[in-house]
Amino acid sequence: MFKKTIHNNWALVISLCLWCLGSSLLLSDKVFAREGEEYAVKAAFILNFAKVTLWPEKIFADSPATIDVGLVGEDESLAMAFKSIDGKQVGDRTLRVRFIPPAGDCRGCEILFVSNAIDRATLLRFLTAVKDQPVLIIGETPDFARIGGIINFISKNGRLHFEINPREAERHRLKISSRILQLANIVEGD
Amino acid sequence: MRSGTGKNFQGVKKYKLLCALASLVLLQHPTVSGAEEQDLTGLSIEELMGLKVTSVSKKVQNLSDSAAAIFVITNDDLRKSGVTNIPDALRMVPGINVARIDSNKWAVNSRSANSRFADKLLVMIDGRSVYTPTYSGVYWEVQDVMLEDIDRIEVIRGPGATLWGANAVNGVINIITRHAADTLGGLVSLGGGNQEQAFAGARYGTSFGENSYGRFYAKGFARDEFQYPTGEDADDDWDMARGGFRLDSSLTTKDSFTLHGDIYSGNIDQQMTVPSSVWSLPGGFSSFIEDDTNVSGKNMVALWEHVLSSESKFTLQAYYDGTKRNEAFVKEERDSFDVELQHLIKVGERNDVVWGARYRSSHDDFSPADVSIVTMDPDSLQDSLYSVFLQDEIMLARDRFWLTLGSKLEHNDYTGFEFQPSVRLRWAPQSNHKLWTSVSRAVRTPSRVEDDGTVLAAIMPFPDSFGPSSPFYNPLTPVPVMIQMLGNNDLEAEKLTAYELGYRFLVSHDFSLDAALFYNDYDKLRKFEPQDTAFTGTGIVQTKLATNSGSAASKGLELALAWQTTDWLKLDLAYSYLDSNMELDRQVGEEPQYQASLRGFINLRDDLDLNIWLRYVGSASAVYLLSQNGLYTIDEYATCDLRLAWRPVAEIELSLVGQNLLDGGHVEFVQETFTLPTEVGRAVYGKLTYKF
Repeated sequence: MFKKTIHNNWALVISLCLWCLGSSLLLSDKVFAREGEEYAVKAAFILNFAKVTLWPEKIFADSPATIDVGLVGEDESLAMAFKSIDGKQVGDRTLRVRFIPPAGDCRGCEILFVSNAIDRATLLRFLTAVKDQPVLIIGETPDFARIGGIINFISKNGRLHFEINPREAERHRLKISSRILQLANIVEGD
Repeated sequence: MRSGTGKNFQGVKKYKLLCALASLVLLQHPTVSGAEEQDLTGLSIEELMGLKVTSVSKKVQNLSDSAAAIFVITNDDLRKSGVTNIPDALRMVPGINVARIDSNKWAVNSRSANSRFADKLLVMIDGRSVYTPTYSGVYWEVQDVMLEDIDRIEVIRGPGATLWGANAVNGVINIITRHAADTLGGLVSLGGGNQEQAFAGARYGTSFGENSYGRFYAKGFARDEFQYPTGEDADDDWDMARGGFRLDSSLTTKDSFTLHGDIYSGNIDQQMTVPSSVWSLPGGFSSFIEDDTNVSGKNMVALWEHVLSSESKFTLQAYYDGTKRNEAFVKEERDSFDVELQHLIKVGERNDVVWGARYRSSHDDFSPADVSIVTMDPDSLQDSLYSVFLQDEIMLARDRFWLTLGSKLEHNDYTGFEFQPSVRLRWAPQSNHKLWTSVSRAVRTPSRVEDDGTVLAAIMPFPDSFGPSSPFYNPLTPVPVMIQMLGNNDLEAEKLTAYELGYRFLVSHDFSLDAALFYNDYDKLRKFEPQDTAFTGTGIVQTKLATNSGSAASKGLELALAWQTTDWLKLDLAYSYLDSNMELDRQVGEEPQYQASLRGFINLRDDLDLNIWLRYVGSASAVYLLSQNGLYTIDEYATCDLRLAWRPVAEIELSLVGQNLLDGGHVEFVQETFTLPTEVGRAVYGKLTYKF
């Protein structure tokens, strides 16, 4: 059987570790990366949408201090990405984020985000469930704002943009600030 | 007691010290935990619209719902592993055995003994099959893409034949690159080291109008030779260059279109000892050649996806793939054309149906090579394959029970019709506990060599089996005994019936466990059976004819565990146990019974990563015609890779990678014949990645 003399293996290992130590001591502060994980960015968008939307007063009757954000998706990792906005103040109300599985119930939500992980049938079920209800329903599927959704995320050059269907907002008795409408792609519903 | 034990004991000692050193580094930063996550919630909508977004693949999450043993290598896994090629990345997958034979050859197989010519694994790159019908295996050295642009590699252990067709027997590997919309901007990476002498890659992606995106890339590398266990250079250095493009366009909200293509060319060196009918000293009946293999290829894939309604959509894919290989003993050109239609439709509340049809035509041409060891009769052939499949996933109880039934019916020119059904049952007693089980049947159709080839595998001087008492015995002018593998037109397909059981436990986002048990029952395995010897006047011909007389069974357990222990440390463990009796037929060696891989992702600081990868592979053996008993014993080994990466600014990453650090070199595998055992040695390289 062949057998090779073992060289001084340590030279490499130690120099790697020294390099490790040296560079970590020398390093400067972290640099702010102009990049964000998709759902963390979407969460920040949704916080902004909450700030510029007016709900009819009476819908807060049952939970006056909170704005409930429902996240519809396949698994709970979606909620992890949104924890950054959980507990944020919007005016005198607090955002409260909760995950809703495909078979779940979205009652009590003021904002509903429907991720594209779910199938079309489930998407339609949620759109129907909040039809004409004062719920800001936000999605991320290509025709979302044309089939009953109010706000839809779209991607342009690797950046997030959004579409708004103002007629749908009206139907849901929501008032969205015109400042935001100017930034959005307006979708003319039927 | 194996000869490698002493070496490995030293490996363990080294590992301990390494851990101690690593923890020293960690102690430097008691507060480094990546706690300072960037807070986006303070940004205005205008600012958010200016942010570049990175996305986590959604499909990956849905895979936890499949009733099959599946493992996904993400783009992040690839980057942090420090691997420079696709086969090495597969070492992190439980149930997959990856062994590097020399600098430019790999043996990769799933749930089975390994071989350079491992023949039951289907490999696809963006929907294009790269499995060669010549020997039913994969030339791993020519399978490459821009690693930075890989979205994920999905590895399915066990049969996938109902969807993917014949040859998806032991597993399916899908290499999937990113949508062009996700690779906008430029990326340049370059580096070098002792084995990775030099490498460079560049990609640029841009958008055309509203909904069309494109990218193109070019890359190249030069890899140094490895060494034989004696310390001599193996002269197996190689280099390769490739380039390609991808266009993705959503023409309407209902139609999306993808077109992508690649070209490559490379030079692969190897030293070979090939059979020769002339007796010489010291070579005996063999001659030594220094081969420079030229490989090249080109491919183009077009894909159209059309949404018919909210409950129905189809995809139509067509591609061309051409490869050329000019090796000392085989000169081969192959052109394949493939077209496939798939239609997904939801029927009622409970049925997700997918059906499809495929046609494939492959034309090969073997011309006389420098050394005539492999001959094909006929030397040029056009093969066709057509198939249809139907699969229905039925939800038996809402969000609890699913039953998947399906089958493929395929016709090929070698064995006619093949029927490949499967039954899968998935049960989610709770949303975080998932159980699945399946019974499936898959076949491997004969390769071109097994059908029409003659391979002169070795020429031996009067073998020991004849001995001095034999009438052929003549010590002065030895009689050559030619061992010849002969293809067989009557060969049938190899059959597998697989029984699988799996369990997934998703405790939380931070901890998940995936376990799979299987029992594989193989029948009609191809076996080269010795025929009567014939004396030709100049020597003895010992013919081994391809037959279907083999059978075997294997069983195993695979475990994948992912644990985000704290916000700065993530651990990924893969463990496999495999036991088969395949070696009894002496067509393959013995598989490594135990394998383990432990990856540690340490986030030292937001801009600093340390990745540690420990691997263990148990002892195995390989068929090796150049040894007395026809086998070569491969010692168990443990090794470690380290990667340290620093991002001084967001656009730049500098990394230093050390691979196989625990020993000076170890043999991972040998090719059946022609080449000598070669050691995989310690490697170090540095790399710079710049995004703009």
